[in-house]
Amino acid sequence: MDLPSQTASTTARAAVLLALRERIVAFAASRYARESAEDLAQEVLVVLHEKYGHLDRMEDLVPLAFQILRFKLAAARRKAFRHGEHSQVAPEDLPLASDEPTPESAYEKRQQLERLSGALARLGDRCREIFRLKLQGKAFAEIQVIMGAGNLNTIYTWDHRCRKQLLEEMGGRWEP
Amino acid sequence: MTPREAEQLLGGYATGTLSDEERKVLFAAALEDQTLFDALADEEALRDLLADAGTRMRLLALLEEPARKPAVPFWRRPASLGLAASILAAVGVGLVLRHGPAPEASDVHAPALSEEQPKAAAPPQNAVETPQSPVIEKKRSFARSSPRLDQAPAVTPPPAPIVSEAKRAPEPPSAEAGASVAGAFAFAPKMALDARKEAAMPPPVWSLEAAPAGTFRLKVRWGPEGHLYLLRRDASGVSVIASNTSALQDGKTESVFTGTLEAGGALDLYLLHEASKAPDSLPAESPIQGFRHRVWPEEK
Repeated sequence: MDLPSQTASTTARAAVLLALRERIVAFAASRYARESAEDLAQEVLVVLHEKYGHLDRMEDLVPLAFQILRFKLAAARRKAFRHGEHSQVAPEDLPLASDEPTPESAYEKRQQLERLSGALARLGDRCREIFRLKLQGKAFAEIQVIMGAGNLNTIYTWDHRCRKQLLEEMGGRWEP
Repeated sequence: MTPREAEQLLGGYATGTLSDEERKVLFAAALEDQTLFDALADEEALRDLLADAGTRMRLLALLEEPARKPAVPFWRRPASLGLAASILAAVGVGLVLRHGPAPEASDVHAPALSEEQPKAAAPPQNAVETPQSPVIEKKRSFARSSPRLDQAPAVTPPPAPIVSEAKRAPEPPSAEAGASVAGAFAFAPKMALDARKEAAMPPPVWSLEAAPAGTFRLKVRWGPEGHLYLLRRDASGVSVIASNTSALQDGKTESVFTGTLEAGGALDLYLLHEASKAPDSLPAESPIQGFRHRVWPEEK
């Protein structure tokens, strides 16, 4: 990569990270704790910087940031719980971190799947069909052809309504 | 694309449905709009769940099953109805015998009962055979006066409920009929409720414009549930007419079909509960799961 294009890429990455930081702080402040929001955003950016320094495209950085943010939020919640006086335990008694899902997270996932299954069963035929095609890995353009819609925007609208309906059926949150 | 428009792509994020271009649009909009960013961050939980292949397989298996149809309630099964009628008759006979011979009273009431029954059954028949909507009458006169498409003037009947085959099929008792026997059967309101549930997929409403050259333009308003098809039947065979479809603000959908039709040809409109893999083989006569109507030539 020549110098001018390298400079442009670095500038674009910096702009994306700056926007991401701002959004993450606002999100964390609204969903978690205002005082920890800055720290959380910083932790996400540190991971992006140290582990994913080679990525500079927005479409790579943004989803990655969501994933890291979710893990960091979960870790922050666990940490807050650990620090609670009522549940203080000696550090040596704490289990070592493992890549395997804990029984708690496995149970949560099972519960989430049951809620999602129940909500899907209550959807109308069209919404079930769209969700089925999406799970099969079909793109919106393919779904348009299969469902015989004249316009791609029609599929976007249908899918948007179905998503809203599904979210309502799940009580307004994907997580229990 | 505005953040509002990009929001419509949200549903494709968790399932990995978005193309590269769509992802780019969505993420760029999320960086601009905090609400969209928050919604995407919340969507991460669903994306994480669906990232598991086992979960996807389980959900797919669930969705492959045909939608569970409501079981026929026990009070609508013929055996139960027969049993109820027997019990009622037995109780009636028992009461008559218990009160001893009362010829005057039974003579007076017997004709009255026999007159009540046809009255109770009459409203559903009337609802189909003598439509109260003037628009239906207009559609029929349109059909009688212009039997050939190439002679038909451009007429656009205003949208109105239409008489469908689904409605002509034997229906469960209507709310009025249920109410008329409510004194005898305490569960009659439940029967009426069930009938309304079956009518969850409303029939489509359409207008047909025919031009002298044999071309037609059919505009159909339908939904929110179902899958719509228009079949052309003529001497060359059966063909599925493609539509230009757009979503309306009220949750319904408008599809516009255009094409040509030879003399002697017919147009059949279908609104099915489930998508058909081979719409061109949909039957013209035998029963189907959904709605069917011959929009041209108009059924009499």
